[in-house]
Amino acid sequence: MNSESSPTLYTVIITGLRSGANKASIADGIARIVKNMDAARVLRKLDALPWTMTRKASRKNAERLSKYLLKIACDVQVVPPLDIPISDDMGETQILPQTSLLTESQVISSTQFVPVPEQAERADATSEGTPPPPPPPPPTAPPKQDERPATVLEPLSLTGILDQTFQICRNRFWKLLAIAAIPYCIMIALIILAGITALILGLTDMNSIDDFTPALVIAGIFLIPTAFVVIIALFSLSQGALIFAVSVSYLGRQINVRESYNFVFARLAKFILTSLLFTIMILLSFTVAVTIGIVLFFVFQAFTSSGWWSAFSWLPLTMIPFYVTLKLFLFDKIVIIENVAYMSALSRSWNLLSGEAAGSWPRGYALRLFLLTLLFTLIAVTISWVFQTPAALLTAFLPLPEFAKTVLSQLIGTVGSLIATVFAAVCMVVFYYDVRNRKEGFDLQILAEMTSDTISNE
Amino acid sequence: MKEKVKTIEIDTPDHGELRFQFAGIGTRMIAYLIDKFIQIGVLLGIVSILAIMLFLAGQMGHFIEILSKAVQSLGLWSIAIAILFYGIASVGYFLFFEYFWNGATPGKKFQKIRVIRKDGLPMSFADSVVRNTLRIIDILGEMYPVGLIVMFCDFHNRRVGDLAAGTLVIEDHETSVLPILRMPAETSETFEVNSLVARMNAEDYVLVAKFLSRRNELDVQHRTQLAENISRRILKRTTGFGADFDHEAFLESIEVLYRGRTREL
Repeated sequence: MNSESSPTLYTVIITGLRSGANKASIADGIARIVKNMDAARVLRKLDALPWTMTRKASRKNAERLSKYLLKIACDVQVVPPLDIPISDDMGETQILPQTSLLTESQVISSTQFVPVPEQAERADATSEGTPPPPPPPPPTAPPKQDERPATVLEPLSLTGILDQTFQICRNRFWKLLAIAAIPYCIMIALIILAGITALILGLTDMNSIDDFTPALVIAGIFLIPTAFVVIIALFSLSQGALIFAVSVSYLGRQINVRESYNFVFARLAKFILTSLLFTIMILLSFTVAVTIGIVLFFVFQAFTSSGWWSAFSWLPLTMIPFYVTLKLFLFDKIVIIENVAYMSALSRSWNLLSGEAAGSWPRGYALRLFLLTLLFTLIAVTISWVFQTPAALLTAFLPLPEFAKTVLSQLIGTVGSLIATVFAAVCMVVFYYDVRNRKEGFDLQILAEMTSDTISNE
Repeated sequence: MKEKVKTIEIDTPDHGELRFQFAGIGTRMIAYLIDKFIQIGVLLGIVSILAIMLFLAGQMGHFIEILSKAVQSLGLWSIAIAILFYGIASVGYFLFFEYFWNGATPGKKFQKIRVIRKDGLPMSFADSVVRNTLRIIDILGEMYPVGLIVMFCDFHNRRVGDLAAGTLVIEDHETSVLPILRMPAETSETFEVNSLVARMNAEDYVLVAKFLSRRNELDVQHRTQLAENISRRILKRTTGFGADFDHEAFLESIEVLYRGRTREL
């Protein structure tokens, strides 16, 4: 029942045109089902029949193609022959203009028939005494591309964004997890190194610490800020690499862990400084909310029995920093993907999340982001539940020392949060592209550019 | 960029072909949440109506007395009975709707998805029973942890219940034609539009149609730029155009002409 692609590949040849057939309209019809081949090119092929259209058609495509060709008045030969008469239900064959049966690479320009590999082997086996034909030239290496299904670039609904998120996570799970896990691994390595150093220096004995106090204070002055900077750099790097990797994956290319980190490394300073600006903007909006709250307190005190009546306005006021955070939420994607940094990145994020999307509710971009965050929180809770529950059961029932139990639950908890981090990154990148597809027609731009390149190459 | 969506093709006995697109995990999750809200809403509604009726009849005190006596006599069993009742109501909701409503519940209907058997036929009652009884495993603790993991690992987004019952959840969208918002403007005769249309391929058409259907959502700058880019792409094959050329009107014309020619074919 499930007709996955059959192993046999079929060759479809146009051997002639029926008498009275209009060559131009046939060319027109064929051009519609072959990607990137216009009617003029097809017409040239039809002038030099027979034309082997493809040798790489699956059974289903060979059937559909031959039915279609027969319908538009071509004489067709399929090799190996299809076991059902292909003209049976010709009348029902309908190929929509969006349906490309063949890509340009599948179309064979040669007019000479070459048997498909299976046939060639059979011919070899039956012909005794004749020397075997020279081996066919090795097939040219296919262009490096993803073997897994990639995403479709087009505007999505909220559920569509979640679907894409799950799809990308599933297809690239281990690589994305590896990218997110690297800073954690480095942190663990550093902790182990610090522990070994402490053991060597004998710092584990609390009584001997008094002798080292001045040295420890000096080390602390340098070490704590250094550690702080290293942690920020590491996690920013990881976050950026994750954004890059998801973006690359979303656009249908393969992910490379090293390439992702290298790419972000060049933009790390911009990324960290823009993150700092983002934090400052949030703090500023918080300060504005607090200031308005204080002013309202005094206003209420002056006009009512108590200034505490102003507490009713506090809830709406908390929305100010929340709203600002939401509107600036895409800044990290903008820095990494578009190489736009600092205030420009923040203002671009603000602009991108202004306005309304077409289609059904929710239409506001900021509201869509808010709802998406809520939905994602639900998923994150489920993911953490998936990891925390077994961890709790293991630590409760396994006869392990207290230290081992702590390490085990921490480890499982970290894996859970890593997975949630990956999901969040994917979800937000998909959302970012969705906004760009809707507001800027990013998908249409890519489509237009892709085929423009093909045209210029012709 | 590959354009591939998760689909399943089912060959019918009369050599027909059915193609379905699997419902995504996100879509299924939202459908489940909607169903859950409906269930909770209905349960709360029933309880509220009962409470109001008992209150109006002056029997509320008597009812609470009976209830507390029952809880005291049953002990922990009362909790088990309550859970059982909730489970039956929860599973029954899905079972009832999926069997009698062509594989859809209100949540699924809203999300335009439905359940079918993997051979493309509607679910039988037994399938529905198996599928929905095993939901208890999938939704462990109402968080859907098992279901989420299994769906994530399965290429066809099936949860335990689907695997056991041999069912699939598919998208139930009707084929929609890309909407064209305006009728074409008068075509400038400077360009041989008909010959251009003859040279267009399916990809060109999809691009033009997509642009026309979505142009109102695009911001002005990108809209103008895109219209020009697409026009250039199509005109590049023949000739150029002046500075005052109306790209969108040109695209509208060729879209309609192309569609017309395709119908003729």
